[in-house]
Amino acid sequence: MAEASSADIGQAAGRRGLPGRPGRLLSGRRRDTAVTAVVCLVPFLVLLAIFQYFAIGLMIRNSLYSYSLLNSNFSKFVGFANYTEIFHDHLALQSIGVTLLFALGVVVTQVPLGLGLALLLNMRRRGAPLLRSIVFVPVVTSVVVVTTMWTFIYAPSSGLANSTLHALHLPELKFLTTPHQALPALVIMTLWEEVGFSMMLFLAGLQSIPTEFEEAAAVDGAGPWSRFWKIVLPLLNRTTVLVVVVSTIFALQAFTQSYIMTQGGPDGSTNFMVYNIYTDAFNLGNPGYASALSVVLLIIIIIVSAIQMRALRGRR
Amino acid sequence: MKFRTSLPATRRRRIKFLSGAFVSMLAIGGLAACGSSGGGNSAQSSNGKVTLTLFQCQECIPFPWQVSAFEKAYPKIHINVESVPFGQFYTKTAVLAASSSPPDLYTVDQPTIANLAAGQVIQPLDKYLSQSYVQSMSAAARADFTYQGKLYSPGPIDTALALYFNQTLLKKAGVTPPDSLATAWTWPQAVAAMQKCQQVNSTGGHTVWGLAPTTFGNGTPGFDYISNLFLRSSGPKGSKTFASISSDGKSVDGYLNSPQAVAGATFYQNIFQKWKISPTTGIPNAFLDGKACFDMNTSNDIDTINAANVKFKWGVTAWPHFATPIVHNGSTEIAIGAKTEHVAQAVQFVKFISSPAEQQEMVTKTGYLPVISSLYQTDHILTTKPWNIFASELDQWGQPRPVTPHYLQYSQVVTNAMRDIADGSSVSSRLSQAVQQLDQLLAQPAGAL
Amino acid sequence: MSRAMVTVTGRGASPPRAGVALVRRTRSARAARSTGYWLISAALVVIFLAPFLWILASSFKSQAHIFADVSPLSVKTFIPTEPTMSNYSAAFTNEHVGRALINSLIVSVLQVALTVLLAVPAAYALTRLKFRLQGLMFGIILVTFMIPAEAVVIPLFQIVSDLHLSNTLYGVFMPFIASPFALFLLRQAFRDIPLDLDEAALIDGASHWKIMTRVIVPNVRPALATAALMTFLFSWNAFLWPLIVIQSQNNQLVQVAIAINTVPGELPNWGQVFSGAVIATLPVLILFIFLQRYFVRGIVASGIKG
Repeated sequence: MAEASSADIGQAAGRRGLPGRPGRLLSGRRRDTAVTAVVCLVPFLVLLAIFQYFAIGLMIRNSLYSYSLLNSNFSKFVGFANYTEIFHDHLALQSIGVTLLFALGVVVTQVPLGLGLALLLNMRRRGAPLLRSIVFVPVVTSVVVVTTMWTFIYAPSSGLANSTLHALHLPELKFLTTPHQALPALVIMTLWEEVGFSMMLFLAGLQSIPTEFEEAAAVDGAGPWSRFWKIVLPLLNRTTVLVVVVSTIFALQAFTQSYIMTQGGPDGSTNFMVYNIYTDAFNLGNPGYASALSVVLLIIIIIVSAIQMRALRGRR
Repeated sequence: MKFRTSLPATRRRRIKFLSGAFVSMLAIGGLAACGSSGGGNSAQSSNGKVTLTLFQCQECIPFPWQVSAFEKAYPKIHINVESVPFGQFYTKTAVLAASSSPPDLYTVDQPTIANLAAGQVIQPLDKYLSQSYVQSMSAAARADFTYQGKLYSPGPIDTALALYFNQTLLKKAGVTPPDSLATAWTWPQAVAAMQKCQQVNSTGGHTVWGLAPTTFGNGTPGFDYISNLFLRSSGPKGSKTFASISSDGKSVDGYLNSPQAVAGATFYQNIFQKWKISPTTGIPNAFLDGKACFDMNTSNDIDTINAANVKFKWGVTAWPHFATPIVHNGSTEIAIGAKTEHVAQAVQFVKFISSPAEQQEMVTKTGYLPVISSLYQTDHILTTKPWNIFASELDQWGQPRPVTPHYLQYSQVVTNAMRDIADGSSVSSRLSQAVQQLDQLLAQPAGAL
Repeated sequence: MSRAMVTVTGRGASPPRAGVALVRRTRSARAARSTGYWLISAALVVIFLAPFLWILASSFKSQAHIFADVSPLSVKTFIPTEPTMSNYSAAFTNEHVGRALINSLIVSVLQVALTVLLAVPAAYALTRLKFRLQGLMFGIILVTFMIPAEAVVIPLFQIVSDLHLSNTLYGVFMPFIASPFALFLLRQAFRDIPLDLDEAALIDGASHWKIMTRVIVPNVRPALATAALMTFLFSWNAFLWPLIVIQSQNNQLVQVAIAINTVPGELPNWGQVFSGAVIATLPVLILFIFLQRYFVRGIVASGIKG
């Protein structure tokens, strides 16, 4: 693909100059550069500072307090008590486990299926572009619409899913109303919603693989299976890292599913961290504690993505 | 090779940026800790005309026709109504109260009055309401709106649960529900009627359910307004089970997990799991579509059913019970914000919509019951069927939901537990878990939401 | 990547073995594979479109038909037998969906315009200018992408209401116009343009402004389009933040207006819920159908470099 190769050239050409001192042409314009940098970056950074860093700062500050949303008179500094409480909070610990399990479920289904779809629809077959669009439609649909839709799909007695199972003479399932099926049901819904995005990333990755490699291997006598394992997959490594990291981050931030579909139940089996934070803050009156959980979530996200990047990049 | 050398560098850079980002995040957190501030003023009023902001849940009181009637009567006051769906009502109330320009008037859910009063979100109205009005309120309502001896709302509405039934389906099944409170069903009797009436096809699927899923929330079971009645009714009057919270509002241990409460909750679970007379997820309009024999609903559903032009005959029977008959009273009420700069105007509004004339009009227009008790005897609608069932329930069986400044927490925890129980959780261990969680929350200072 | 390349070239150097067997097998295998392809394709169409079709059909059904038609499953489930427009007319009159659509459009368009306006110079500075801590700065910016908006709603609302932006349309989009995502996307695209191009322009005495607008921007139009489209999508589909920040009906946005309206004792009108879902989805769907190559291309641009 043209874009990919020009990208590599551009990167190679551009990067060579970057790490050292200013290039010979630019050195005379250092002041100009500084002014431009300030003008270009300051508006962006100021807004980011106000609405993101300051918000995070407030959140970290709040996590050290016990306070009330309704009335600021109740504010009390408690140090790290909110953090130590997490270890005694069965619901919070369960929600961390559930969220990680959900993320795992999403990743192990979405990565292979996204890749499979990309391989299938990468071919120049009739209808492939149309199919790609169809698979991508849920990605552009709002989560509110998707979750509302799936609430009815999963309804035990009158839902589309059970009607279909019934029509196929298969036993009906309880889906969201039983602890063992609720989380898998949400994983499947998320798969439906997001697999188009992973597929697109993989398609992009596939199209950037120069065809000569595969042709050479084919001439070499390698079957499609070994070509896939030995050539395609290693060359897709960076895309795989991206898909894994992005789908993990999305999964760790899951909220609307619990909020609209399950309210965290049954038995806390879908009580995702963000939803747990939300209820702690707004329904249980613990915004300070909720802030501490938010900080923990942020740290988890950073650690998990760092580990994934390391592990997948190191895998050769 | 350029790729080989460039890769580790990228990795190193990435790790550096991640750790750098995190360190700087913490640093900024420290900065913000010193710099956080609040305060602000509410921007309002222009040349004599005062604008009051009213925050309400959608389709709750005050209704649009009341607001426009008030604005017509008081041309110098404009009411700016802001409303959200009921599902987001608490969240939004909390967020707004914390904002720099909180509303002047709040619609409040009756059991949260203690929460909001303790949090100093709403203000006491004793000095604004006339003594004669306060005396005209039903005793139960007066108690409901009072926190630590002060009255926070004039009402103006009340309601209770009863069992709506599909007369056409019941006739086919040969069931006749009782038509007075004295002959009201016990729960086992009601369940027997539901089992007799429901219709199941050859594959075990329901064509008609014995009991419709709730129309509250998203239709899943658990809502404490309904489910807690199964627990409380199991205990005799004056028992811990019936009270369902300690008198100081600090503990539920021995109240929500007593053997009687466990028995009540087990009965509730059996409705969904053992007898399967009601589904565990919502079926919209099950009752209106004639797909359920019974429906648990409040008095204002009379209006909904009338408006839906249902194809069957219907009626209302009193709420069933175990040891002690009980219904929860209270509905959405009006209150004045603690921080309003226009108390006088806000009081005028509150008095207007709670006036006897308005309360009477509300009955006809919406199906809500008034809080002025004399209307229960004199109003010609309230003395006829099916209204009289609700009116006498409120009169004879009405109990406030557990009075605690932590009601929001109470409601959330009990609702979650009862939903899990309906879905099949172990009853006693799930209730103990709820008790443990709730006792921790109740230990917080009052008004901590 | 490097290892794979070495292996491939290494293998390629050895004498090629004949792939005769492969060719012989081809014809029957191809037929089988083609059937398989069409079967999978049909399954994909059903799985991904059936729920949408159901919503669409239901939005034209009367209250009594919507759920009656679901079980047993039949053609009726997906095609309204007695179509009615009443759900749509009701959505526009009762739920003020018309007003909400206009509000959403205003917010989304402004958010897109301002996001691009802020991200282009920032991406320029991060790729074309050289200063210390550039990488660190980018890292600091990008880390905000990992923060779930739901978790910072409380402090964010404090900030927005202190700035007197609550209950305004500005309050909805202002916190998000400094978008790390758009910056990330543009930065990737900017890096692909050889530095020689601007060096040549610099020799000609062009200012940074000129380089940015005349050299860089024309070369990254697809990435700009992607950034704009993705921002539009985020903005249009946002739910929790608009719900929190907007109170008055006049300023309400479409996702909030169509969200299930649950009031105790009041039955949601599901026909209206579904017509609302259709109304809220249609604009992005149309946009997507006409501009999908930009979606794809933008993902390509951001994707390959991870």
